[in-house]
Amino acid sequence: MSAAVIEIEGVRKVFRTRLPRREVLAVHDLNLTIERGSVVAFLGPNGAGKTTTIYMLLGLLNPDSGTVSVFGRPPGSVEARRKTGFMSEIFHTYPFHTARQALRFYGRLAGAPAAGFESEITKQLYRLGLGAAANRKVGTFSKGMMQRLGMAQALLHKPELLVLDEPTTGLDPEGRRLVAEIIAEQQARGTTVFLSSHILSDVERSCDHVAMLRQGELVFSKSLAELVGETNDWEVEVTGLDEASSTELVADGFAVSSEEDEGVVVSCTTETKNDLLRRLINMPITIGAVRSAGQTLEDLYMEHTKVV
Amino acid sequence: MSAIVDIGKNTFSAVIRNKVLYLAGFLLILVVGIAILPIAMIRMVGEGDQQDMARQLQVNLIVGIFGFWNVATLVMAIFLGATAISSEVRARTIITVLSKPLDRWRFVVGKWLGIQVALAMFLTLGLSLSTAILFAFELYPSGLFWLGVLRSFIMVMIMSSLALLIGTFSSAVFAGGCTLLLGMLTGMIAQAVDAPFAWARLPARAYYFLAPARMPGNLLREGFSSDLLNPEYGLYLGVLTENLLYGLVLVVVSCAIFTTREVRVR
Repeated sequence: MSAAVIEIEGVRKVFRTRLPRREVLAVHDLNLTIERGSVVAFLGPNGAGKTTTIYMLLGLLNPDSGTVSVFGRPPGSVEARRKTGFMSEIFHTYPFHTARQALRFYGRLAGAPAAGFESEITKQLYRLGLGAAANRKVGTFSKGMMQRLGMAQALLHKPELLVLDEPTTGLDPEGRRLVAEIIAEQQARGTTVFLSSHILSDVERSCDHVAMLRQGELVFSKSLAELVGETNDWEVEVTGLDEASSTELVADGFAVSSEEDEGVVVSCTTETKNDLLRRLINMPITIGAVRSAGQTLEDLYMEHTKVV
Repeated sequence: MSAIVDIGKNTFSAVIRNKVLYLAGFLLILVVGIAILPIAMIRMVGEGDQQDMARQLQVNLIVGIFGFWNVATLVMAIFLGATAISSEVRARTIITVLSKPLDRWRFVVGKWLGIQVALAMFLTLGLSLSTAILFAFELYPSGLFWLGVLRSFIMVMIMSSLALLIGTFSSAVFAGGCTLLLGMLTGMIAQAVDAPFAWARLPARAYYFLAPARMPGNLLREGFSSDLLNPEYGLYLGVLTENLLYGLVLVVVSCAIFTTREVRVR
């Protein structure tokens, strides 16, 4: 059996408007493979083609050219969707259902096993913090509660692939942490998670692989470690470093650069880091942060989304 | 099968929560209530030779009431059929539903079923009112009346199915408008079939064969007639069966179209 859960090859998608007649290139020559058990972040600015790609994975949209397969099957096939749980950016459901009725409805459509179905609904409601609202009409729910319900319906049938489109939209910090915990739980049970998000801290916390789209094209698809940990350089923030000590450090091969608030940053490598720290500790200065000088995900994101 | 029933139940739940339908029902009951008054008065004055005329007036009013209710249900059928898919797209509920392992055709059949149950209930309410009035005034129609009632149910099913079909590939407004236009054309086309001009006759004949079979006569009215010696039950049942199949074919075509279509949500 192939280890790839999602395979996207040379996919192109164009939307055509009627009046005025216009073509909008949503996705262009997209190639992406998602391995089983990975947690993949799908990044990109608004209009990059993320949701279009997700809808093609679900079989709601068809690519104009190229192929998409989910679990080795066409994405619209019932077999592929049986193994997939999906939560949309803003979860929309029928307002007349109670939370429990909504989960019952979606669970039955998803073919959740009948044995223990009701207890699974209760478990998910409590897991998502909706236990007290189980019998409340969904129409009275806040945005955050709706998102939690959306997550619950996606998890109910224990999918092998979880597709989450901006799952933390409308969630408070507690809700965002809950989503991160759920993603970690799902990863632990071997679920592949495909997560579209703008919130880079969430991505750094949850994902092990990052794919980025810009204007419908794939900018990169790399492991998170590869992206943010590709450097051997470190930086140490210090304040109160006098001129003589600074000159001495430069003479010994360390780079010293001025920072705001009379502070300086001393740069070193992994090999020289301990030596530098030992020397700094013996100086009459204050040591601030010690950090990797590699790019953060935010740096990468800003760099790649910059309009040329 | 359970997915169809689930979608059907859900659709029915959504329909019966539509406040516009309650307003329509209330107005219809008001109209029926107003119409009952003259029937009661006619009954009181009816004696001797006047009885036949009074009875005829009562029949006309009752048939009119049911006919009026029927037209209201047809309008509702067009509305519900045309908005069946588009309302789910507009509310974005379709995304989560179709992300589930559900065949598209099951979704369409479930929607259709839910709408049919709601429409049948609404029409049954009108029928119950009409029947109560019938029996209250000691009017006992023949089997033709009940065939006419059955025809009303089937026509409601056809109109909602046609609107649903057009709604699978177009907007709700277009689907509703087209269905209304086609429904009106069906009534007018009989005259154009024998038109002297080929430009009118040929499309009229083509449409005649594509449209649902026409029922010869008004069965609701003829159900009260004592002049019909040998009503053609076989012919009437044939027309009803053909129309029933016509409606079911529309549903099959709707499923076929929706299965291949993209679902675009903005």
